[in-house]
Amino acid sequence: MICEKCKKREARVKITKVINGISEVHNLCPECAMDLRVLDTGMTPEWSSAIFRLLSDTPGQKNGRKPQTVYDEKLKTMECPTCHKRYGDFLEDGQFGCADCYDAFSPFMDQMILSIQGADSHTGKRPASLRLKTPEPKRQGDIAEEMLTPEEETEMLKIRLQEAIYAEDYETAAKLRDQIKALSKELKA
Amino acid sequence: MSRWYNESGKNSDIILVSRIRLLRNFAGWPFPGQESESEVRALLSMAEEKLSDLSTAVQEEVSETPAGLFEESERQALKERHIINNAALRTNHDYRLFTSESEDFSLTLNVEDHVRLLLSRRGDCLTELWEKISYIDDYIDSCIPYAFDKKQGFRTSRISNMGTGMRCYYVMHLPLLTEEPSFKDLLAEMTKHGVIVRDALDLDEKHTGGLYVLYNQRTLGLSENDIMDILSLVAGRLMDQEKELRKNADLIKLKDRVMRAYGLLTYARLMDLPESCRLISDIMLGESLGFFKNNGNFSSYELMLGVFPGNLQVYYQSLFNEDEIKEKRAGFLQHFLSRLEISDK
Repeated sequence: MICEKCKKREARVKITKVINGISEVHNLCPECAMDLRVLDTGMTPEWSSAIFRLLSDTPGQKNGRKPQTVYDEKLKTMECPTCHKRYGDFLEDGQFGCADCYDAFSPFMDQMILSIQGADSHTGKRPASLRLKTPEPKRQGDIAEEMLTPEEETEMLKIRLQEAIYAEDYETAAKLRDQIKALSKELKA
Repeated sequence: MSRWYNESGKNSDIILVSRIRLLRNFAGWPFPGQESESEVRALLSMAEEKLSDLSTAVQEEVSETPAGLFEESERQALKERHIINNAALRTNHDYRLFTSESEDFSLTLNVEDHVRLLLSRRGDCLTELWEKISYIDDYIDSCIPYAFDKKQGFRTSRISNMGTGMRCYYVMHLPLLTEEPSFKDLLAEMTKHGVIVRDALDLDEKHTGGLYVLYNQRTLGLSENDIMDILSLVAGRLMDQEKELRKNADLIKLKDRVMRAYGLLTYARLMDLPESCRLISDIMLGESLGFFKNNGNFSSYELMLGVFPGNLQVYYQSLFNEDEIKEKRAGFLQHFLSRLEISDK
């Protein structure tokens, strides 16, 4: 694909802009993309170019060697506020120093995660404390369920709906959606 | 107590082993490698104290081996039996290893990640393994909460493990499929499904005995069930093709091949590693085709693990030089093979 801005170089960067909820996709070459990024994010050209150099497949980078420029050196000294691991050291050994490094280095992580994992969101198991209890089938005299107001019940169903969508259990999701609809009709009536 | 690799399981003549590994880290602690010495000490003693009920969760006696205690050859043997990984062999900070009596379960604390859980079983049984390992995982999390992010999942020390922290493995025996010209294309196709196929024995010589290990490449964006489904699908296809080849092969040629291996293993006095692996692979094939009756309490997969140098030295409880190892290996194999009875059917 050819870059849609300069119409010369190969488009190797895909940029999605979201403005007021409407998304636009641009296929650009790294050079044009960089100009656009600078304008849009207010990022300094130094940061912007350094990030792009990290993201674009520079041959040396794969062997753990980074092109020696001023910008890269500046980035490498950036450290995680919790464990003080430097970004440069992370690039060397590929290991985070603590759980907070993910957030500390997050401007550079998204693309790296996508390219290694081909995805950006976890859809698997969650720790028990974050798991929603599977609702027991409704029994007579089940006080907890009976005492819910319609508003509370709607709220609870919405949470379950989110969970079902998250788990890609569309059958359950459809049922929950219908329940929510029925409840909101009841509420209006 | 008998070790897990002596057992047999569903389709265990082709799917030799199913294995699940989970990586986790404790919330609020720096990851291994970034900790100070006092933090390592504090973490390990905290974990040892809080995980005192581990045996109950594993439903089997679990015991601890302090890292400093075991000898070089013992560590090598643990690596050869896939209980610890290369990172644990190389690490220069303190860590802990817990293993169950049958060795099917192990927990390594503080190597590259705080927690590395491993559960193995013979045959095709990922679902059962997941049920059990997930239960143990919940137990540990209830004692010491894990670092978890709602969007990105379990925090691991490497991006390649983030999300589920899960890697599922199948060790497969495909001696006939390996020899097919189409096998290379088949392997390339596996990669498209996100399944990596590697030589299971990791010797210098490639594809020794047709033993392969299959595992999932991605750990993020897929649920644990997705990962197991993909792997089962791929392994199932490989298994069907191998079975088909075994069914249609010229029986007398196969029998000749297996018996030649049997002859060499029974009478040779010096055995090097690649040769013995190749020959054991043929014995495995022979067992699967019913050429032998096994009168001993061992599996041919156990022999495959046993001929590696670390395991041999632990088996004989002494250290050998290279030539001695070859002699001991031949002796080890003769000892076990004498309990295989040739069944003339």
